[in-house]
Amino acid sequence: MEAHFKVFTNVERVSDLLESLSDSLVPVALSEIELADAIFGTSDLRSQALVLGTPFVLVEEDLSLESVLESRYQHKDFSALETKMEVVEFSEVVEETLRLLKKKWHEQLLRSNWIKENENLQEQLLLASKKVEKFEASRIQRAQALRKTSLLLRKRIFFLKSLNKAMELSEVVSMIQDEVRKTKGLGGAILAVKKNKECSVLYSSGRLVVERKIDTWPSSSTVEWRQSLANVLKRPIGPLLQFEGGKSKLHLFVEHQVPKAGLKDFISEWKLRMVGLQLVVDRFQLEKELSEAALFWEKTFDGLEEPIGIFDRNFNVIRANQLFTSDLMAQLNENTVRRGGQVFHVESYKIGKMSDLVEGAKVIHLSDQSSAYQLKQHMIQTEKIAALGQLAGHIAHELNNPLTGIRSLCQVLGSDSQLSEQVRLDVAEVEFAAHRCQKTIKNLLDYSKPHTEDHRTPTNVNDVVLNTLPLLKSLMGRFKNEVCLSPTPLVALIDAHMLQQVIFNLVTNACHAMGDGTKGTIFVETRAMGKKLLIRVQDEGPGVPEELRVQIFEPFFTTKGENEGTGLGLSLSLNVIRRFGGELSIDENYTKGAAFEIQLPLMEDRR
Amino acid sequence: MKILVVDDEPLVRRSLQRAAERRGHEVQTASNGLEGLEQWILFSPDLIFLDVLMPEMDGPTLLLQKPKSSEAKVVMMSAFTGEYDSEAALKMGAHVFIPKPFEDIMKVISQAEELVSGNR
Repeated sequence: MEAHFKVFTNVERVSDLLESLSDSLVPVALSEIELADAIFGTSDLRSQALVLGTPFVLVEEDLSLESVLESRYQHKDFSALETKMEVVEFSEVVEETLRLLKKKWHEQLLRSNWIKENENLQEQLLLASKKVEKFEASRIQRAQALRKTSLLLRKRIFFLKSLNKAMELSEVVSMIQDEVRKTKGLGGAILAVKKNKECSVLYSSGRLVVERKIDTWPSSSTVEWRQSLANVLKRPIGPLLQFEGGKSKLHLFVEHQVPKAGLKDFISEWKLRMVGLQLVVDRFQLEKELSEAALFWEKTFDGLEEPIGIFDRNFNVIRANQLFTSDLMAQLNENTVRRGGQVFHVESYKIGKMSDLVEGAKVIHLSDQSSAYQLKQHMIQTEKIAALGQLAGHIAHELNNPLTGIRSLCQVLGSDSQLSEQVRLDVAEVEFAAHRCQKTIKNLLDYSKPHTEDHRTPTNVNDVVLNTLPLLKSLMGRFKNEVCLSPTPLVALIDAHMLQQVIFNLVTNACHAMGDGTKGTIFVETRAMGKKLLIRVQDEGPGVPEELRVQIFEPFFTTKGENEGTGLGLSLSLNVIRRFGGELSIDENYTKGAAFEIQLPLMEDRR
Repeated sequence: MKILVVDDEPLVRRSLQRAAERRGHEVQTASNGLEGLEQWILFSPDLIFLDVLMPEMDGPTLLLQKPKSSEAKVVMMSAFTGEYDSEAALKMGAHVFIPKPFEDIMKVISQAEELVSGNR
């Protein structure tokens, strides 16, 4: 900036000053005033002069000097103005002053800004610390709440875990009771469980847990339950807290002596615990159902009336019912399995896949064919007998005619008085033989025609035996004979003649079995055996091989030589005895030879 | 009395003949129904022993064809007691039925004599 200002100091008189100045006064450009304004922060010229600290005259460009002077002289400082003025280069002073001022100002500005800022900061700091305090307080609160919740949770989990370890529902109830006692003002805990139609109530009584079945399951109403429980427990029931499990099939009741309002925590906690309790109860019920199902399956399996089992591919037993005895298992390679008189058909079913361990396993079912087998055997027997009947009928007719002739002719001859006694006896012998032949034929016919007339009469079997044995003298004579008859009469409804044939048959067989020697004993016995009578014919021959014990009763089966037996004897005998409602069998326990036993129903009232 | 025995079994024929002859009767025999019919006509017997089952012609057939003039009594004999009994025999035109085998031939003859003499 050019030096437009001239500062006059030591001005004696203003007029002098003005005079001296008139030439040198330089108008100050408005822009410069603006500068000052900018520097000093005010456009008031007087103030500017004061700020500068030096008397000076400022003249505004468009104003007349007079007006300026007038305004300036009013300032009393001007009166003190020195007449002697030293003109200083204004610009330098101003610049310097401005610089200083600027600096000072800047510092002041900075300081005031800093203070302001500091104040702000302080304020903010205060706010922040308040916030922190508040936050801290809430944090502690929250932590406490959290600790409390986690403690509750831990307790809850611990309790539910311990419930899970219980082996039975009563244990659960006693645990609940213990847990409930931890809260003051609570009494008995009662658990009500419903499964299907079975409802029961469990509660602690002293150290024990009692389980009572109840007939009806009250609705959810606590009042109803209170009455119902009083009936079951047979004591008055106090006010109850009621907790309900899922589907209202599980209720927990807790008696309480303090107002419900004081038990808020307990109630809310146990509402949550009911979920776990329900799970535990469900588990027990499921386990029970499962074990019941397993037991049911087990019983069903074992209760099957025929042998059944599960086997691996090598016929090793995995599981079998009791009827599947080891002797049966040993024969599983066959199609048919036998045990004693029973015959089983082996039926095998493959199991898709049980597990990797038993791949190729199968269910084997032995279906009892015994009755079917027997029926079949019986049918075969009947057919054979029918065939035999036809044959017998034919033979009987063919033989009867000549035999009638022989007998008749013998009778005619025998009545001839001219014959010698010797011839007459011979003829009589021939007639007797023919007669026997006719009888045999008649028996054969009777056998093959079971529906012929019934000749059964109540007969003492002892008599039949006694009448038969003498006929066998020639055969039995070689052996030792033992006859042991029941001391009391054994009366059965039989045809004595037919029974005689059977005994005849059995004794004959016994004699033949003992061969040509003279060793051995033939033992004939009769005795009562409960509601039956027994006739036993026993020899000491080779016995009947086990594999032939069924066959020997079949028609036309014989072990005798070609002309010694027809193979009909035992078959006929069996048929006869069966017709009398009895049974003819081999005593399988007798090992010294063969023993045949006839069993017949005793007529007790006739004794 | 004239007796005709019609039976295919020679021993039966012979024994009846012998037994009847012993009692003083005149006897003719035939071994089947055809022969029997011929004899019936030729011999005009008072009594006929007639078997049921025979070759050529059986007893019942013979009875159907018997001479109308004949008043001979007929004793029917059979082993098949199940199929033929007195009642059946009477229906077929016989007078008496005797099941075979006979127990006593002499009784059979006397039974026949009684039949002819009208005692039965």
